[in-house]
Amino acid sequence: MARTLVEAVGIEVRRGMGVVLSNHHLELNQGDIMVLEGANGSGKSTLIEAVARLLPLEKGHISHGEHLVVDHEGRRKPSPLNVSLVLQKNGLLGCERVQEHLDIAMRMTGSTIDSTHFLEAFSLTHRASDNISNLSQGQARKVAVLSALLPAFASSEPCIVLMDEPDAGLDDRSMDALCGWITELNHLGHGLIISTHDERIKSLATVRHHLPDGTTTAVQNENHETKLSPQRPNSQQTQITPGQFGWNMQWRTLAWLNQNAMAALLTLGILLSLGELSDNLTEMQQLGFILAPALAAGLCGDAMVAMCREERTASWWYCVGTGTPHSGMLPFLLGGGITLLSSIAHTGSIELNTMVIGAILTGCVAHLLRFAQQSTERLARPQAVFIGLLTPVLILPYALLLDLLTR
Amino acid sequence: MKMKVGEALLLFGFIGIATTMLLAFLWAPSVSINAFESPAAQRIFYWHVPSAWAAFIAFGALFVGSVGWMFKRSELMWRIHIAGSEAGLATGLMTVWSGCVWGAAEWGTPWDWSDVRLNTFGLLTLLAIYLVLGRNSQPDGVETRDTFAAFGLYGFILVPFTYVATRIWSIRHPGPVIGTDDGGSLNADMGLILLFGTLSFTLLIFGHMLTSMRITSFEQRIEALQIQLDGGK
Amino acid sequence: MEGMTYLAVAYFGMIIAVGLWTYTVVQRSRHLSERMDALEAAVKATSSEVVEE
Repeated sequence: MARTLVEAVGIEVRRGMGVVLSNHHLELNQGDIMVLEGANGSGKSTLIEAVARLLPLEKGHISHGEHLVVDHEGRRKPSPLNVSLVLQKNGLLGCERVQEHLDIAMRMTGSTIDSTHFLEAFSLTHRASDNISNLSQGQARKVAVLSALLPAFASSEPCIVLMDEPDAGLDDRSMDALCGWITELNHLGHGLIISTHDERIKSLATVRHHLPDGTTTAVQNENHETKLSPQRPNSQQTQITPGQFGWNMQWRTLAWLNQNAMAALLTLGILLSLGELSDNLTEMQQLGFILAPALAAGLCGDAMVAMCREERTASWWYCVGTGTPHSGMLPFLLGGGITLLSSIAHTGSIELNTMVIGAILTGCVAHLLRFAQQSTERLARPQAVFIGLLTPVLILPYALLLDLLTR
Repeated sequence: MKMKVGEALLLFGFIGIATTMLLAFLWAPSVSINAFESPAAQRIFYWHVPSAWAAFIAFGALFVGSVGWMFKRSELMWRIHIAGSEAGLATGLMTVWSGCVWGAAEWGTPWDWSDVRLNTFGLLTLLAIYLVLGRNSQPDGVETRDTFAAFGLYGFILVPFTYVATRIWSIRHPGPVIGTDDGGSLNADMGLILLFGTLSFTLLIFGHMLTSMRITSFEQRIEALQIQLDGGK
Repeated sequence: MEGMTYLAVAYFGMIIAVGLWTYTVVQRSRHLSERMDALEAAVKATSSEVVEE
């Protein structure tokens, strides 16, 4: 008997002021190609995002395998199964490279395969080393679709493949390739949930799930004869962590320079311009002057948060990876560096202790702000929220820290 | 026009506050020059303390409303959250502003970044500003409500912390003058004016919260009627 | 006396601010009430038109 990959029991999901899914049930087994059917606004995307653990539940729970992953009491746990995803937004950063993104997606399963054939079928071979931002909308969409398919091909374990309108923007040749791959994944024993209006993909369904009522119809189809496709040869690879990814992107784009380093340098410059005043300070005040640029750098937050709002990259990472991308150790390094500069500029000497404190200060403040920024990601317009208003709370701990250090 | 309960409370509260001001100027006894650097500025005490009390009521309502929304999904509780955040903003600003005026006269500085009570109260006020401005920038919905209710919950942890701060830390801000074991150090006439001011601010803040809840209820009803007229569900 | 003048200015400023705030809240409440009454009348009128048809 086929193993159950996804079970949603009595789920209720709200969006905005309305209830989109109410007392909804869903069961996805190994080897199922479940096509979601329903009019616009019936909840197809909402259901996919709920299964992907991206939405909180008002009622009910969702399990992947035998493990509860989301429930209505706010519990959200990582999936024990490999999950791959393509939403209506592509989940790609413009500064990523095509092959790089596909490798990251595959490495989430712990293994990779040769993607040459897939790139050829989608006419992307010549773009493999290009930045996503250099691609057309249709090409970027193809990359996003491949990032949902390739992990399943690479995985030795049954995978949950979630696809929201994968056919959008694809030409006929690409559609033929996509349909072939969907069938192959079915024969490999993976489970797919696909929201689509395309008749070709609908014809591949083994199960049709109707929205909003949630009824399910099994479909008899000659393609569904039990066939096992051979597993493509794969090689073991470790996952890329959100911190590693953030580090790579920060160095590629130098976003940290624009956002954090400039604020620190400006602060340092302003303090230095006070000239004679800084010579008449108490020990605590002097330390405050030296550490102020590090605090300023931290107060600018993590540039990765804004970057990952692009094309819902943060959501993609949250679903398939181990968390949302962040700058990792970079704020700590920046804090140490800027404190070194500040120390030399103010006192003419290098103080290792002060550098370490500056590094910790910038790192902790930047990551604290990152948490605050990420807590507003569910909002319709997260960029319009005044998170900066809460940053003065850090002035008191800064003052207390200085007091403690100079006792 | 028939006056609602909230409006009546607002009116009486406002009259009470204005009366408190007059009493503070004309009737309140002066304090000793030995005890205060600026005896005249001390009279702002009759505004500052009651507004801080009102702010605690407002932040309490914010907390209750946030909890009620997060755990019960209650529309009434969401309206209390909104009322609490708006009232907290107004009374928090009043407290901070009056405190700065007093501090500038008494301490020579309007603010002390190393004072725990001042800063935690300032943070609560900032939190209220954040909640009010942030909520106005977003469409109403479960995502908006969950996000801001969570902030309201966490911010409230500061309220008991602020109250306790003057008992734990020896800091610039004066310690409590009422509610202490030794019966406090307040003159009877001063206590009377302070009580009158506190009652007035209490009326004002409850009046404001009731009116604010009414406003939110109207806005929700208007939205529902507009959707109905648009032909939606 | 300078201290008292300073205090009086601060107090009056705050009273005026509280007064303005109270006034705007009450006015908004009344304005919304009127808007709601108008909308309810419009909805009622639309419903009775549908019934007649």
